[in-house]
Formats: sequence, structure tokens, C-alpha cells
Amino acid sequence: MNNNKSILVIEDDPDIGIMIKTILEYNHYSVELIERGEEVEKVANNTLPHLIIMDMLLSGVNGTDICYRLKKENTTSHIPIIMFSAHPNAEKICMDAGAEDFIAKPFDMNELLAKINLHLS
Amino acid sequence: MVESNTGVKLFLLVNINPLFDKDGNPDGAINIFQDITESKKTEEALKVSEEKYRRLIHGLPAAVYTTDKNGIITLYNDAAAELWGRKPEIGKDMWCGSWKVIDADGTTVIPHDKYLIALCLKEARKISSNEIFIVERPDGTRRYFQAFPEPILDQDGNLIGAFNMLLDVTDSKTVEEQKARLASIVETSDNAIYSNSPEGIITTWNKGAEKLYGYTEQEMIGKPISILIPVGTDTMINEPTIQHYETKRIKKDGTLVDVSISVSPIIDNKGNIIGTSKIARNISLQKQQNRELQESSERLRMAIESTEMGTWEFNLELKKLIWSAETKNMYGLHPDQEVIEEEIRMQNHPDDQEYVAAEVLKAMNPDSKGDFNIKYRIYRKNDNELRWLKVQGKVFFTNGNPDRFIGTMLDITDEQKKEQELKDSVELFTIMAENVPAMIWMSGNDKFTDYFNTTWLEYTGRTLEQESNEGWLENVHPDDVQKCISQYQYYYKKQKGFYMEYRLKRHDGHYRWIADNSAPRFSADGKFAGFISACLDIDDQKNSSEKIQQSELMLNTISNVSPVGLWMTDINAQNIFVNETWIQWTGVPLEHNFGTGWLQKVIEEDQLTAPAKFLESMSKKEKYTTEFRIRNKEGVLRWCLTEGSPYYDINGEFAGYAGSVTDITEMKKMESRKDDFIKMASHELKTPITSIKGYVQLVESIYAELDESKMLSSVPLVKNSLNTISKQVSKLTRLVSELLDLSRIESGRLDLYKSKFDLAELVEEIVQDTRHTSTRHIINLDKNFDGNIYADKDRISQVIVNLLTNAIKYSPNDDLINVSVYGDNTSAIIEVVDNGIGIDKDDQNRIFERFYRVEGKSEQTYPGFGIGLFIVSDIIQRHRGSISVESNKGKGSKFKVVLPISDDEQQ
Repeated sequence: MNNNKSILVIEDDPDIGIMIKTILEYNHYSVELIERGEEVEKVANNTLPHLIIMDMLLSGVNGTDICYRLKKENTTSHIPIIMFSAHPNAEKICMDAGAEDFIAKPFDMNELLAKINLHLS
Repeated sequence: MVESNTGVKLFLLVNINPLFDKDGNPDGAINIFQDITESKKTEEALKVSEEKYRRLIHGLPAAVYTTDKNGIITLYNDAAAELWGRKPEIGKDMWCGSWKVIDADGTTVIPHDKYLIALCLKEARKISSNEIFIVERPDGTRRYFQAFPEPILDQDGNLIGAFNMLLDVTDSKTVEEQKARLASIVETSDNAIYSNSPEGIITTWNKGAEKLYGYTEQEMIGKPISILIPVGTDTMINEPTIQHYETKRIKKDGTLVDVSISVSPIIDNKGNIIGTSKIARNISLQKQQNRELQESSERLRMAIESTEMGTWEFNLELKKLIWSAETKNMYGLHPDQEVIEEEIRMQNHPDDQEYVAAEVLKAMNPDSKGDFNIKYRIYRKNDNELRWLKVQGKVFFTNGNPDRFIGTMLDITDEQKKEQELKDSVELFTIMAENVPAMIWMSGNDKFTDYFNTTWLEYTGRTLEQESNEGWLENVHPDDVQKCISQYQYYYKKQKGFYMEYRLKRHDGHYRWIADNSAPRFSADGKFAGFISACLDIDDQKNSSEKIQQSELMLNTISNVSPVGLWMTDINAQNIFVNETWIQWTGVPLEHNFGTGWLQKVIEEDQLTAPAKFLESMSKKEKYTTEFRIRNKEGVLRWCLTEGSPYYDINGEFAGYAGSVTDITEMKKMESRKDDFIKMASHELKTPITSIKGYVQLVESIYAELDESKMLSSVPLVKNSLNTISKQVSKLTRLVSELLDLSRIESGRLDLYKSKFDLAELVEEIVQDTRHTSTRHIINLDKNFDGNIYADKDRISQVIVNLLTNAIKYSPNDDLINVSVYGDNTSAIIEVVDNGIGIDKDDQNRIFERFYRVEGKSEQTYPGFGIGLFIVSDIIQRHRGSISVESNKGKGSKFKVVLPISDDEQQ
């Protein structure tokens, strides 16, 4: 049922990124994983995924800035973004940046799947 | 005056005494010479003694007190308390206290800030003023005084207080007034009062003299006195004692006038007569009368009665007393009253009755010469007043039996009074001089000291004989003797009082500092007569002030070398002190820190909060602690922690706060690094946990799949998941063991388990393992070391892994890493060289510190605990090895570990 849904995952820690990719793929999503924040906007504009999952802290760039810019861009503004972080005050920062949802690290994959399902239905 | 056969000059009062016949009629006269030398001397001595007494009061250092720079009294003596009429509280009362000072006119109350001491403290200078003020004591009595305040300066010339001497001049004021009164009496006296020089030149001339002689003052000053004296008259210009005589003088109009003249010599301090003063009275009329009276015995009798001396005769045969009117007058009897022996005996003072009776019997003893000379007291009949009488007489014997007893009587009450006064005065002087706590000495006009009071003698433990003349100098500290002598001689010449300090040997052999305050003495005629001096032992004061100086110096030193800033406030929260450390930090000079000046380097955000917190603490007298930030003199932001506590003065009064300022910038940085570490640690730990959790959930959901074929198809995924879980658990284990290592290092429990192993082999193993896990990097190994080292293999392995991991971590773009191991027979060296981002020079020395992570934008790029190199460094140090780094920012780093091949323990 999720066959035609594509998700872009941005996570600089490959351990976490691969884990998310594996589980989402097991759940029949098509997943693109990128490690570097700088590539997000380009990829998002090219592939126009159904949903973006993004870590708030990314190597070199700030996840919230990317979120903000994606939400401003006409072509990508409609794409729901779920952000996650281990930072205690991250939720408000992410919501302020325009994210649709937030999930705290270490997260429960079942909870993440539920949120993805919610935003894609 | 006559000269006795022993060469002593005597004053004699000559009296012509009538003799009476049985009917009481005069039938002759005898001359009686009365020796009044003693009473004359008494009179003189009284004057001198009074002068001494007065000078002593003036010469005493008198009221002395000191204040601190705020005018709070710190010390005062008894004389001061006496002057003020109260005892102000030391350390609390101001110089002004609660008493009142009024100007010399006694009209205007002087405001406290106009006191000389206030001026002295305000301007930090000695105030020289001879202005006289009045102090009104609490009981309303007033004293005149002069104040001589002097500032007390410390060695740097800063004002630390004031010293004030208050001279009670009430007496001299009174004397001045008396002098003025005397002068006006002289001026207005009807008696002619004038004086002349030894050469007979008239030097003063009053109105009375003008009236008597007809010459005016202008006419007579500078003229020879001889123009007044008739040719052939005895002149008596230069007699050394007081003379009373009657003579004739020439008036301006050329006529003669009968005068009674009293001549007093004016004697200087060397005993030379420098002139005479004369009081002359016109007695022409009296003379005239006298001459007439002398013509008859009645007149003679009257003449006798006009003298002060009474005569008496005791007719022993008839047991009858015959008294002259004057004698009766002395007893307070009417001239016509009959004298009855029993009655007049009752008038004798009870204490003298026996004595008089015994003396009478003695005189009437035929074996004696019949001389009778007594002094006794009676109560005068008419007014019951106690009078002293001097009675002299002689018993005449006929055939060995007393026949007639005749003599004179003189009322000597006034003389006795004077004598008593002298005695009192001398006694008072002695009591005072002997009882004052001050040591007193007195010198005469021969420069030598001739009097030391008991206090002095007890102090030095010497006798008056030992101390007299220059003997006292023997006990003065050898270094001070010359000073004493020269000062004394200098002021002796100037005839001025002086103050000096010197060391005097006390009876116990210790030299102690003495403050010697001397005042000049003047004889009755105003001649310099030496010094009177009061001395005080000021050794304790001197020592304590020295000790205070020493302890101040010590405190200063401590405070200035202290690594923390120090400060003090007064009770109004105003800064009164900061130490050199604070001044060094801020670059703000001491005086600009006073009050609220210290705030100028505090950054704006903290400028209100820090003082507000201080005031809050101060209101409760609680300990004050706060943090604030300053910009130091280089403009660098520094964190300061200040802690202060209230302090109390010697009386337990709250006196302000004293505290310290610690530069906690490094502590703050450490704190923030620790915060970062905790954040980082939680992030680092959460990542593998998140991963593990995710895979576990994946495996769970695979096994929950009901479709068996579907589940089977997922077996590789399960295998892969478990593999990842295993890796993540290893990572977690490594992180946890790092944390454990850290806590071991911190508690000093990181133990080494040493063994011999092949270092090159270990390095090679690790490099190969790393090549497997990090395929992106090329790791070259250069092995140039053979043999074993004695060390903890696991820990050394940890070191190499850590260095290699770091090299990979901080070389995101460059893949080449060179590892080399080499050495000689004492050391083994491992080098790990990367071509990565490198480390700033400033950071290079600090990367081995706990929690230290290179700051900057890339912070988020290279997550880690920031404890790896700290642990590495600690392990190397425990092996008695060393670790160093060479690095260029942007070009890469070289870590070099040097390990001893074997350590001392093994050998």
C-alpha cells in the first residue's frame, strides 16, 4: 500500500540513517538517504518526495535552516517534514522552522512509522 | 634691715614700747626689735611656689587626644577627660562628641566642622593658632583652652588621623585678667608708684606719683630719681630687699613733702638688682600730727597705739594685767575694759592653753633668763574670730623672784595665713607632682635639673641624688643623649617649651620611649627660671603603632600578592579598598575604585545586579556571593566570583564588608565544557541505542509476520539487523568503557596490568582492523621497531586505536594516514600523521585536557566525548612516556607517543 510513497531521509550518522532506511523499506516505502545537509534542497527539488525525515543537527549545516527554506520554496513547501533530535528544546525550534512533526531521539520506530503514516494519508 | 654677727641679713621691725608706772602712766620706753625675716621669706616663697604651681599646670602635656581620619576619638588622657568634663567613648565619639565649644567671647557656639581639629583633618595639616576657645562641660562649667591639632600621617603621607593637644588656659586667662586688674589698680592708685633703674633713672611713673610730686609721666620717664631727693638724704637706691621708711622728697614746686616709701628691688634671675620699684604715700599730715603728739606722753601713747603692736605688762605682785589699747583691741576688748587674767585665758584656743601656761611658767623660772616668745591662737572677744598672736616678753626678777613681766603682742593672723597658704601651696604642688602619673622634672636657671618627682624616681629606680644635675642622662639611651642635650640647650637659650622623645632606661633595665613635654618657668618678676616638664611612657603606643605598621605592611603584602582580588566597603556599601591584584586586572587605579568606582569595569548587564545583591546581603548582614563579568584592562571578558562577609570593628560594631574576587573564567569554561560533554555523551550514547532499538523492532515485526514465505524472505534482513545490533553494542561498550576510564582517572584508580609484548605487532594488528572498518582512508604503516616493550597491552592498544580513530575522524577529505613505529633500546615511538583539518596553535596544548574540544563552526561536525585524548595522555603518563602534537591548521596533525621500553619498576 505504501509502494508509491517516496521518503527522503537526511541523517549524517550512517548507523541511524541505514537503520531508518532499512525499516522504512521493509514497510514498503521507497527511501532515499543522504548524509550531507547541503544536498537536501537539490535532491528534494529533483525528486519531490512525499515526505522528508530530517535530523535537526546535521554536519556543516543547520537542519532548521533547511526546513525553513524548503517550506518557503513553492515546489517543496507542500512536502511534510518530520524532524528529530536528541536536543531537549528541539521540538519548539523545529516547529517554529515549519516542520509538520517532531520526534525525540532515541525514537521508537513504531512511533515514527505511525507519524509517517499520519502525514502521508 | 641689719646684718647679724653671723653675716645673715635680717628684717627687723622696730617698735618703741612705753613703760608704765603703777598707775598705768608711761614712765619710759623700750625699743623692741622684732625679727620678721622668716615672714618675709615666706611671702617670697609663696610667690615663687604659686608660680611653680601655675607653671606645672601649664607645663603638663595636659589634654591630649587622638582621632582617626574620620575624627573618631582613638585615645585621650585623663587631662582631656577632665577638660571636657566627660569621658567620650573611644572608637565611637567624634572629636566633638556631645560637648559644646564656644568662642572666646562666650557668645557663639562653634559648629563641629569649624573646629580646628576638623580643619586639621580636612586639610591634613598642622593648625597653628593661638585662638582661645571655651569648652562647656556637660555640667555647664566652662574652661578656656587652646587647641594644637596636628595630622597623623602614615609613611606614605596619607592622613590616618590627628593628634590634638588642648591647653587649658583658664588659669592664665584668669591671671591675665588679674594682671590687667592689677595694672589698672596701679594706674588708678592714689599711691605714687614708680620705678627706676639701678642707675637711678626713672622707668615708670603713675598718676599717683604725678599727684604726689606734681611731675607728669612724660616729664619723669628717663629723668634721674635724684631730682626728687633733698640733698643729704639717704637714697637707698640699690638695696637688695624691701624697705619701708619715711623720708622727705622734693615736689615739682620745690616744697618738701613727708612720704612713707616702700622700696622693692627688681631682681633678675641671677640675683642682680636691675632696678627698684617704689610706693610712696604722702604722710605730711600724719607727720605733722605725730610731731604734735610726741610732745606729750599722751601723744606718745597715742602714737604707740597707732602702730599695730600692742604692749602689756603683768604685775606679778598685784596679779594685775595692764594692756595697751592695741593689745586689748587684738583680744577684741574695749580700750576701757579691765583685763582679768581668768577671763582672757578663756579666749585661748583650747589646744594652746596648756602650751601658753607652760611657757609662762618656764619664763618665770628664776633659772631661766626670763625670755618669753610664743605664738598661739585666741578667739577674739568681739567677733569670736580665731586670731594668731605672737607674744614676746621678758620677766624681770628681783632677788631671784619674778617681779615684772612685760612684753609686746602682735596679731600675726595674716602672716600665719600666708604661711599656711604657702604650706598648702607647697603641699599641693608636692602632692600633685608626686601623684600625677606623669614623670615630672624641673630645672632651675642654672640649666641643671634639680627636681624629679617620685613617679620619675620609681620609674628609673634611682635616687634623687643620682638623677640630679645631669645624672638622669646616664639612663638615657646612648643614641638619644646628644639629641636630649642639644634640644635642651637650644630651648634653654630660646626660653621656650619643647617636646622631645627619647629612650629612657626603666628600673627593669629596659629602654622605653618617653615623651617629654617641657614648659618654661618664669619667676614672679617674669624672668626665665628654667623648665618644668611632664614625661609620659609612650613605649607601648610607639610599639603598638610600629606593630600596626608592621601588620599593615604584612597585610598589604599578602593582599597585593594574593591571586584573588580583595575589597572592603564601609557601612554605606561604598568601596574603601581594593588590592593590587584587582588593580592589575582592571587597570583602574586604587582611588578610582572607591565608592562605586569599582563598577566601571563591570559589564553593563551586571552593573545593577551585583550591587543590588550586595545591598540585599548587607541588609541582613549575610554572606554575599555573586558572579559578575568584567572587561579586564586588555578588554577581555572575565568571569568573577565575589564572596564577602561583614566585618566588625574593635567594639563589635558593624564596619562594612570585606571580601574577595576570584577569576572564575577558566572554571566557567570548564563548566561549559562539562555541559557540552554531558550533551555530547548523551547524544553519543543515544545514537547506538536508537539504532539497536530500531533493529530490534524490525526483527520483532519480521517475526510477527504471519505469511511464512514472506518471513523467510526476510531472513537476510534479520541477519543484517543482528549484525548491526552487535556492532552498535560494541560501540556502546566502547563509549561506556571510556566513561569508566574517565571516572577511574578522576578517582586515580586507572590501574595498569603490564606485560611484555611486541609493540610493532600490536600496531600492525590495529592498523589492519581499522583498514577493515574505515575503507575510505588509506592507512600506511611504517614499522621500524623490533622487540618487546613492558606495558599494559590493552591500554596501549586503546591509545593507538584512539589516535587512529581521531586521524580518520578529522580527515574528512583527505584519505591518507601514516602510522609509523620506531625507536632505540630505551624508547619506542609511535607516530600517527594525518592530512586533515589540523589544530589551531592555541588549542594544541589543551587538547589533552579533559572535556576539551576544539571550538568553532566545525564543532557539530565531529561529535565525540572530548575525553579520548585526555585518557590517552593519562595512559601515556602512567607509563612514564610522553605524548605531543605538531599541527598546522588545514594541513593535518602529527601525534607522537614516546614510551620507555621498560620501566624502573621492572629493573
